Amino acid sequence: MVIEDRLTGRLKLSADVLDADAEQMLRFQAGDETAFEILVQRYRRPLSGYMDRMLQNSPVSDELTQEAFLRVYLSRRRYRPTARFSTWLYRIATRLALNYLRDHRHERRQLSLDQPSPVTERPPEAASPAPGQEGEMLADERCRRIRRSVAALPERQRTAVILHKYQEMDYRAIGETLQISVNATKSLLFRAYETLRRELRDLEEAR
Amino acid sequence: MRCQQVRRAWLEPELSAKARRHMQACPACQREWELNRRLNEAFSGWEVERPLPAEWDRRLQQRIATARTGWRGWLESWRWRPHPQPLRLAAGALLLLLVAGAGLYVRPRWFSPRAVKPASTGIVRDLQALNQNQEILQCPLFAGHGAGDLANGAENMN
Repeated sequence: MVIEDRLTGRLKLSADVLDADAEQMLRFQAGDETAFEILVQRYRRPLSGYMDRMLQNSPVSDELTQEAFLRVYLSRRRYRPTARFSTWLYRIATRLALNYLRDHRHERRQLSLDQPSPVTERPPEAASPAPGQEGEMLADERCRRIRRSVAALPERQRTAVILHKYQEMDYRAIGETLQISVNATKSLLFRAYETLRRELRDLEEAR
Repeated sequence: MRCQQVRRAWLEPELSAKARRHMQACPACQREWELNRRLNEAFSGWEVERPLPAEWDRRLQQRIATARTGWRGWLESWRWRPHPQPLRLAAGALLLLLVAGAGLYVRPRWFSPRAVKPASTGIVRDLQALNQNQEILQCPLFAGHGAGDLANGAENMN
C-alpha cells in the first residue's frame, strides 16, 4: 500500500511525529479525499475559534479558515510529516491571519477600542448591578479588558498567547508554528503576560 | 534570585525550590502571582463558541472545486516536489530546450553587426585633404594650369 510504503520507505518517519492526523494527511496525499473531509471536520471548529480570537472579526475569520483548508488541499503533495499535522495547519492559518492583520492595520487603528468585538463581546450593561452581581460584572469587565489588551499586543505575542492559552500548544509547537526557537517563544510569552498583568493591575487600581 | 527571573520561571511546568523561597519572601511577586491567577480566570472567560455559518462547508467545497480547475491548482501541480515524476522532468527539459532554441534563433537578428563607421585616423584625414586639394585645382580659376605651372609660379614669386 502506498501509505505503508511511504511510512516505511522513503520518508523515514519517526514514530513520535506520526499522529493520527498525519496519517490521514498521508492517505489524502495518496488520493483518499475522505481523509481530507475527516481533517476538515476535526479542525474546523478549533481553527475557526483560533481565527476568531486572532482577528476578532467573524466574516473574515470564516473566510480565512476556509482559505487555510483550501491551502492544505492544494499543497497536499508538499506535506511532509516532519511535525504534527496540527502544527502545519496552524502555521498556515497563522500566516494568513498575520498577513491580514498587517494589510489592515490602518483600518483597525481607526476602530474605537471601546467598541465591543463583533465576535464575542456583549456591550456593557447600563443598569446598576443587583447585589451579588458585582463580582460577575467585575469578571466580565476583566475579560473584556483582557480581550482588548490581547488585541493590542504585538502580532507575534498575540499569536503565542492564543496558541498557548486556547489551542493548548506547548512551547515547542508554538515555536514551530511561529518558526522560532523554544527560548524565543518563552520570551514572547513572558513579555506578553507582563503586559497583560500590567493592564489588569491598572484596571484593579482604577476601581 | 531576581523578581524577573522568578516571573519568567512561572512559564515552566514546575516552580523550583529557589523560586518558591523567593516568592514567600517577596510581596511584589506575591501580588503579581495573584494578578496572574486573575489573568488566567479572564482568559477562561473568553468564549468564542459560535456555530459556523450553514453554508460554510458548501462554500469550501465550491472554493476547492474552483481552485482545482483554476490557475491555483495548475500552479500547485507545478511547484517543487522532492521526488519529481519522470514525465514532469521530461516536460521541464523540453521546455528548457525550446526556450534555449528560441533564444539562439532570435539572438543573431537582435545582435547582428551593423556598418561600423571607421575611426578617423591621421592617414584618412590626409587622404581627404588631398582629395579636397584636387577639387580646388580642378575649379575654373585654375583651369588650364597644371601642377607644374603652379610650381613655376611659386619660383617666380621668389
